[in-house]
Amino acid sequence: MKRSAFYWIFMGCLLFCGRPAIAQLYVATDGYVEFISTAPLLEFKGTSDNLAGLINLETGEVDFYVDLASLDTGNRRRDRDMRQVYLETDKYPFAEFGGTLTSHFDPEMEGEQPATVTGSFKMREISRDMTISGTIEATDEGIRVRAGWEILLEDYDIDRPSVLFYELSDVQTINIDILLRPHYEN
Amino acid sequence: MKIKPYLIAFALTLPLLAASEATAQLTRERVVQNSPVELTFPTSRHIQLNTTEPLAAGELYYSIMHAFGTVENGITDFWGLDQGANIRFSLEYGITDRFSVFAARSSMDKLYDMGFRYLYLQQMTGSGAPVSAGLVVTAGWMTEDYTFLNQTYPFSDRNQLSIVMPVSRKFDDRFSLLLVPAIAAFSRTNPLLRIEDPLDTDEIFAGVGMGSRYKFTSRSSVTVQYVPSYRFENETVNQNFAIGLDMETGGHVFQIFFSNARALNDAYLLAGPNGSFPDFEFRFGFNINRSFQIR
Repeated sequence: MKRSAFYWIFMGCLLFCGRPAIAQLYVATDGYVEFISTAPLLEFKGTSDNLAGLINLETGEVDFYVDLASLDTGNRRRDRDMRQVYLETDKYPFAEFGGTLTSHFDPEMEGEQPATVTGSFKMREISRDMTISGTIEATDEGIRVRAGWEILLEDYDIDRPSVLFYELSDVQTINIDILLRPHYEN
Repeated sequence: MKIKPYLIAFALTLPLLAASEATAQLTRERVVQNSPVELTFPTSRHIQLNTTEPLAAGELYYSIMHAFGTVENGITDFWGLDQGANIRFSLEYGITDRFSVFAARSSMDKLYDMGFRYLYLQQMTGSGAPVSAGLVVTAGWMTEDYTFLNQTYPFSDRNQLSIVMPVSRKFDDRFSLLLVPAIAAFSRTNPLLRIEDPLDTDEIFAGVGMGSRYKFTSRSSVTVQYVPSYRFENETVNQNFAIGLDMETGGHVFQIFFSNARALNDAYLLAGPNGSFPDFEFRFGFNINRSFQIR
């Protein structure tokens, strides 16, 4: 059967134009996140390997979230109190950051590149605007994002123990490390 | 064949359309879909009853329980506080996340007891068990010399054993219910040994304790307890009531209550005397619960 010229142009566009445009989108659901609490008498961290993230290099849009119930501090009692008493994860399951990449990223460049995103961090239905600095690195598998920032629990209406033994610091340091892979829409 | 320009434009635009649709926010999906229902009760004690709340492995749980005298004399003995309290100290250690062992000492009858707690069923948020269920076995020894009774009690006459099987369900963030089938046996009974047994014949006592908790703030709950207990030989039912308040302060759980029983362990809760609420034969008490993670 003889193909029309339109057919070949259409297929060519899908083949050579479509994939690079859609590959501006990078996603993952297995990133690492840690919440570090440094109290006077005790430092501990809750970690999760279930950080989900998205970066659209074309629009600069970034979106990250983690199911807070997946955080593990290595202590069942503390995990239980964290989920039930402080974070109330049944009612407010996610910690989220959404924003825009405000620095330039060159996917052709090797090594880590400084990156800045501006957006809002949201927990317990409370959003706080913030600017976060980190690094982005192009790898063979995708792009790797590392960043760290601090939040105050009182900003998110998280009630801490306030008598005698401070087990939970108001200042929480959050670090993320996530490898985002190219995502192609079908 | 002549190609129409608008078709070429449409074909070139398709990838851009596809890319713009792909910028949506990630769909929020919970990783943990089915998890244990936790903190049905804030601690292992609910007023004077045992709960299903287990310790974590390596957790050391310390509690001090008090039950003062009856309030019926009012300010004369400061609503029972002047009468002295039955005080129970206990230490419990989590061997695993479901199994713990404990030892305690109560001032009433100078009782030493020890035992274990095992959680064999865990309520789940999704599919799985609808309730949590545990087993608490306690063996106790009364060490009071009883010289005032002008008789002696050998070691074999001073023993008590209780088996309780608390079952609980957390209905929502605020309301939890507790049922505690319980049985206790004494190697010897006597009213002067704080056991309500007019005929001095009972050795076995059984009942089903009931308790509930309603959280009215994130850290405070109102609690109630009802324990009817049956005396097999006398064929009578004795009834314990209590109402209390739980306050969680992070690390500590304070429990204050009014109860018509002076008992602070399971065996005495079933076998001990209970006063009449309408006659003000109830007493003030409080528990202080504290946990430490030592491993």
